[in-house]
Amino acid sequence: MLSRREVLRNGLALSAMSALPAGEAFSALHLRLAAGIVDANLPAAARMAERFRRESAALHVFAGDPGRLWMSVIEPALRRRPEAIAGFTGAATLFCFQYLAQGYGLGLAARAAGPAALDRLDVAEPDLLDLRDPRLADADTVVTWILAPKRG
Amino acid sequence: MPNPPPGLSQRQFDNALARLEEIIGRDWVFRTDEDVALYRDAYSPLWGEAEERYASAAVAPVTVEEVQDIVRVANEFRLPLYPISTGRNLTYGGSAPVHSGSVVLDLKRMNRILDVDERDKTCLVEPGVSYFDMYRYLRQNNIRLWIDTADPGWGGLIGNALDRGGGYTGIDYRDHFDAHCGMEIVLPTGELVRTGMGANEKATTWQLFKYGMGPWIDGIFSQSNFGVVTKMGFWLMEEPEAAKQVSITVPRREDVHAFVDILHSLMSDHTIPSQTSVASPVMNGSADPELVRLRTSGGASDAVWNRYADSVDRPFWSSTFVLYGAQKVIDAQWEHVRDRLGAIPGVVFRETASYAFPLSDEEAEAVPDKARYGIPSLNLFGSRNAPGQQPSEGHLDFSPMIRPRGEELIGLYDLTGRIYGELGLTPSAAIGMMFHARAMICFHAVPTFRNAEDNRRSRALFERLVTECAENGWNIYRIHAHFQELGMSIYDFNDHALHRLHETLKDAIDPRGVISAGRYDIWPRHLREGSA
Repeated sequence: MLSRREVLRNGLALSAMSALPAGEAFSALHLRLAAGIVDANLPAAARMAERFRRESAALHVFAGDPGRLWMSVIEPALRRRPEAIAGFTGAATLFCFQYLAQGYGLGLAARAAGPAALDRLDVAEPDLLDLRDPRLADADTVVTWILAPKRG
Repeated sequence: MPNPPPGLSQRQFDNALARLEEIIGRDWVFRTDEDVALYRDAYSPLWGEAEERYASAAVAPVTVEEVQDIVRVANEFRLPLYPISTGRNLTYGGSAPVHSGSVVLDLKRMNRILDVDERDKTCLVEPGVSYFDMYRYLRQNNIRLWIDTADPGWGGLIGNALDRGGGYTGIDYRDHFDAHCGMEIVLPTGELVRTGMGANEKATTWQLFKYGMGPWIDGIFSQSNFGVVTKMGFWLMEEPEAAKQVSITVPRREDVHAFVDILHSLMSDHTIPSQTSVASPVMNGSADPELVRLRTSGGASDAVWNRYADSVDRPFWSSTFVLYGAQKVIDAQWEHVRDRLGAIPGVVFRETASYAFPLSDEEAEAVPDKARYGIPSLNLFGSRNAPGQQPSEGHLDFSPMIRPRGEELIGLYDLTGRIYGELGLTPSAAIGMMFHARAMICFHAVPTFRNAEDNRRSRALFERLVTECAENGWNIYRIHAHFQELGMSIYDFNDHALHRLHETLKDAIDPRGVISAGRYDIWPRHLREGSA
């Protein structure tokens, strides 16, 4: 089993990310996305699901409560191997996943308000829970995001 | 690199952490800024201000023996430790220590479900076991028992119980501390004790009979700092045959007296088994100017409020609860409920959901009110902000406890509404919830932000709510870490004799003051005000 410290140290792509200035395109990171997560209740969900289907190893769609998805799919996968995940959800869901995933060494790597191509996301500031952006503090806000293993 | 804890030099701190690394390995001693930031209070009412509380490091043991060794090293160096289980109760301070600079003792890796006994309907778990973990275990193993989950369900059974959290199912289960049966504790000296029948190594009833012999001491390990709880047993609810969720409304403001009295009676005679909430669809409605004016007026008459209720076409009070059991028992309970409450003119009864168990995964996912059926979820986060409200980054729970009487519920609405208004704020929605058998807590949310100016206003609001409600006899029973001194100060009988007893216990059990200094305002002697 990987240790959390190993996870922190294995953030290969994150070494590259830390050298990037905020705002640089996320596509430069070349992360393997283990999963794409889409809230089916959101407008543009179908389009984002198709995009994630192409760009991640697995697509997971939920409607409303993200708890079951976390409990039965995402957390067991992170326990086996913490890898980057992407999402198109409400900001509240991002808040939950960001907080839960930090226990597995993942942090917010990139995000953009609304539906966005993954190669257009801004690299996030290395903040713990970056809710200071008012757009992300509003639970109604829709956001595209990536959580990835952090550099040790 | 974070600063060392108060009272320790950098060299002493480094030496202490080196000793801890020998115990649990370098991988599990966290001391970089990035690592320590994980333990920040995400909802801190002091975010970014000088008084915000931080950890200086964190350590994550995986065995009880490691916890014992860590505590012994802490004694040697007088290193302040702050144990957390999952640390996710954000509205009460999360994983940030009360005594800034403490080393977080993160027990999340101790996440083994040690035993689930379907015949006895009990479990024994470690502190890192979350409601999600336990629910998943029961489902995967087809065990027909329910947990009583906190809401949201990302927290842990032990941490929530020790902080005296509550849930929604039967009365034997939803007071989470009351539902525990047996503890294992690493004392501040490093000694290991088990309580109740667990104090006998051969006892087969550790999770069945609470008391054992001699004083029942489990209570001193809740909301306290007298040890590190490493195991706890809990009673689990047998999955019922069926459940019926109902909603009942009464039309007029003055109906609250009979409404609450009858509901309380139905709970006392066990007709209603579940947590029962009483709220006002009128007073908790969308904040139009007239509603804000009435809420902040501090006491409009029934006649004025009823005219407003007519104008918005809503019943004044509503209650929601669930009946669990065999279907024919539920049918009889429901008939009795309608007989009793039918005496109130204009009462409306609605059956909002009915279930037969077990549920498939898909059926469980479709349940809108999951916590009432022992299903952990993150649903609550979908409602962090009402439409049109200023976004906040978090909130503090403010939940004063009142008698289950209509006049107290109205009095509380009036008082808190006036306080919000005097500070220029829109009153929080309030919900009376009967988590406990004989009392009602009245939940309010006080928002927190990521800017000091808004947070100063929220702190002022919170302090006024605590003190002015206490003056009316409505004490809070649980409080965010930053306000624990204030919270204990209102327990003032005989010049705060209870607080002095807590300190006496602290000095006896933790003479070096290494466990959770300041938690619930229990400080070790060397850190008390005026101490050298």
